[in-house]
Amino acid sequence: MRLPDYFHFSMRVRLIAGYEALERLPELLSDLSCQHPLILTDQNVTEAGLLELVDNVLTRAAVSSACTRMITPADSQAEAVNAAAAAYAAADCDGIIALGGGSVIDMAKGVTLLLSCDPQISDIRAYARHSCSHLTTIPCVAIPTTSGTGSEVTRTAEITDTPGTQMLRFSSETLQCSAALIDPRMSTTLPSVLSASTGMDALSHAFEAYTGLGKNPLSDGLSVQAIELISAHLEQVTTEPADLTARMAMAVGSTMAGQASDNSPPGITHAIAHALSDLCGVHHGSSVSILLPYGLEYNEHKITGELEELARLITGGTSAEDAIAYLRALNEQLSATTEGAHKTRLHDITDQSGAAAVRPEHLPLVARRVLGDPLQFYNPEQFEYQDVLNLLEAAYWGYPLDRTLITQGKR
Amino acid sequence: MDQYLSFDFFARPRIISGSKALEAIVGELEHLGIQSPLILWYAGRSSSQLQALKKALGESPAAAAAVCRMGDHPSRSEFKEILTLMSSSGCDALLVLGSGSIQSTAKLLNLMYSRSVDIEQLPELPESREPLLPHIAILDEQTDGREAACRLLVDEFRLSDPAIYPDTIVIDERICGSCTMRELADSAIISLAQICECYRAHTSSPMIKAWTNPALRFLGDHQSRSTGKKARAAHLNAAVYAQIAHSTVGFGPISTLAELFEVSQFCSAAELTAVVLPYYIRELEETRSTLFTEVFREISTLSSAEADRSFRQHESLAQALTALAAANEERASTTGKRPIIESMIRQTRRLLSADDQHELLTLLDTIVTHTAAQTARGGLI
Repeated sequence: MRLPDYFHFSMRVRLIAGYEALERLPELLSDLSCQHPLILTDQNVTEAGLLELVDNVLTRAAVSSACTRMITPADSQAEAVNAAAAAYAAADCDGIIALGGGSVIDMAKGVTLLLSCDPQISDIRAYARHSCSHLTTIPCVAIPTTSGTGSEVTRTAEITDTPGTQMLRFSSETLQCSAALIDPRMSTTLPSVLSASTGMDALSHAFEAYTGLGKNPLSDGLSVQAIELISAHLEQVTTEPADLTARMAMAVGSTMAGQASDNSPPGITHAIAHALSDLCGVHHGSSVSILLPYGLEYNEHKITGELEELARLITGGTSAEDAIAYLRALNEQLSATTEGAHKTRLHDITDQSGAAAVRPEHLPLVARRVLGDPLQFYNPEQFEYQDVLNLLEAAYWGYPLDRTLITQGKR
Repeated sequence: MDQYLSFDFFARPRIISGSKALEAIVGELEHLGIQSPLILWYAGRSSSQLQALKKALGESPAAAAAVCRMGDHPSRSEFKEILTLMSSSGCDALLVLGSGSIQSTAKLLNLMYSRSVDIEQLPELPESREPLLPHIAILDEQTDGREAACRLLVDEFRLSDPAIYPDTIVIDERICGSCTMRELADSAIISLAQICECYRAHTSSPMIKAWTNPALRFLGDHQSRSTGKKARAAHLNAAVYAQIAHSTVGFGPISTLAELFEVSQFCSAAELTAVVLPYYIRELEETRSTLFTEVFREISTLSSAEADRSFRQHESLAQALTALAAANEERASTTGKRPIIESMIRQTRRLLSADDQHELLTLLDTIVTHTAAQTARGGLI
């Protein structure tokens, strides 16, 4: 194991994981001196009965009546963040419980950021791409209901400016939650197709953290554990959604992958996924699932050793190609278990009306947008327009990347 | 699997490691909003450490920080003097240079200062959730197993409290290199014992493995070539990861014994650990072969079967442990402290018995048996 010439590592979120971790919420709130929390969640979570589960735990601990509840839009929106911050102040809350997937947790982080910094600023958009160095002062407990984004442990948040426009991306120590409760009951109602795509998102965090330029001994340790857990249980949660052991493994694995990724940022796979999200509205997990093997192929000549190590870990194989082939086969398997709902090429992704979300004419625009993504600094290989376009075309039509067309690798 | 996936884990310190990690301190101070830190420095260490730190602080406000030179075991009057200095200088953070007791002392000073406790009031400390002053720990490789942890030991005063975690751990190759190979081995043996206890603990989890596996790798990779600064920094990284993981799982039998011995000042924690650890590892082999194999796979980076075979041939770690134990035996045979270990083990058994930790008791029985046999052959400690 190589000791990098320089790295820093931070993981300040207290993690409580367990089959009944939710029962420890009152104790955790007490530890954080939080008596009147604002509960942020969304409609899907509420309809799935998860808010009720949380309410029951709080009621038994006589905390429930002190809570303020707010149902937010399914996607994290700046206006909703501003409204939640106003509600927090109006109700004199002293902490936040974020119950939901990455969007809800990101919104909670936005509220924390807004309330921790300049009191004169009431619009979260003011902090976009602008650092706020204050330490978190508002207790925030994340209860993730998907196993994918890792948002419960990261120092980043993505919030939509207005629906259908580019995401605002925030990064600050202030955005780190105080604690996360990892309870498998929270994800048993997640549909199979979302279980597949969010699980692949988590796997991509671990793979890109392990192979990225920001890797360090601890991000490696987290990635390896995450990859072992996710690769062993991802398929199971799509076929047996109520399997608590598999759900627990996925929940822990995705959280650890999030920590790895937070300390060793992802590269080309996520950079392209960002552009596809901004320009074509593609769900992050769906694009990352498809792009991960292509991103690794793009970098393969720079990360052969790392991919060989991961191949030994998950396939028993010995070559970099084995690891990439494993991911393609996993995508195919997930597509089969979700009856085709999990897509394996960009061409097949549709929008809400059923029309193709990504069209061939989008690809050059996406490739240009990728060249401006800061994640390129962490990618082992440089980004070159034609190379990225070649990758996109391969992922669009679903054939392996012709690496002889990649110019950067030859230099 | 069920228990393995259930855990409560918190790692407060941010870790900054590298050949120029000291230069990151200025940014760290800014990030924490620190204007007026107090530099605590153990006077027994090389002055080049302090010079390197001062140089790295450059022209930042922290470069003008007061420097407090401390002895190994500060007296009560020294404690009072430092607390007075903290107060008069408007100290808003502690920048603590060096490993070992100075970090424990800094944690205690921080508690006393932040909670307005006088030295005469110890060991009583008021309950409080108020945060302490930021504590930036700049470590060298002569560790005692507590620097990065939420633990302190100052003379007979012991405390375990999440509030006393350092905020930042800085590992810089320029600070490493001043300790002897013996001191480095002591540090490594404590790290290894902590890792083994982590593997063995009921509360072991994937998170624990994520921290202990890289630590094992570093210990294994560098055990026989620890002369370079890079290798020493790797050792120190291993010690920090092990301490943070070990903080989460709690004391096992080796660290319990080691700390009792350290408090008694009969021998160092490392000496005791070097005696007991080989038996503990053999116990691991007998009772949890899967874990055992995994430990050595990580150490040797060989496949499981090869690692297992390697160990059975007494290569690598086993050889090192045996050599340590033998050296210790030789030194100890002349000290005449033989009854002490039996007394301490008995005491530890009582402590463990009170908590009804059956498995630990069983393990201790084995250690007692082995240790007694060793003692009968010529004395250990």
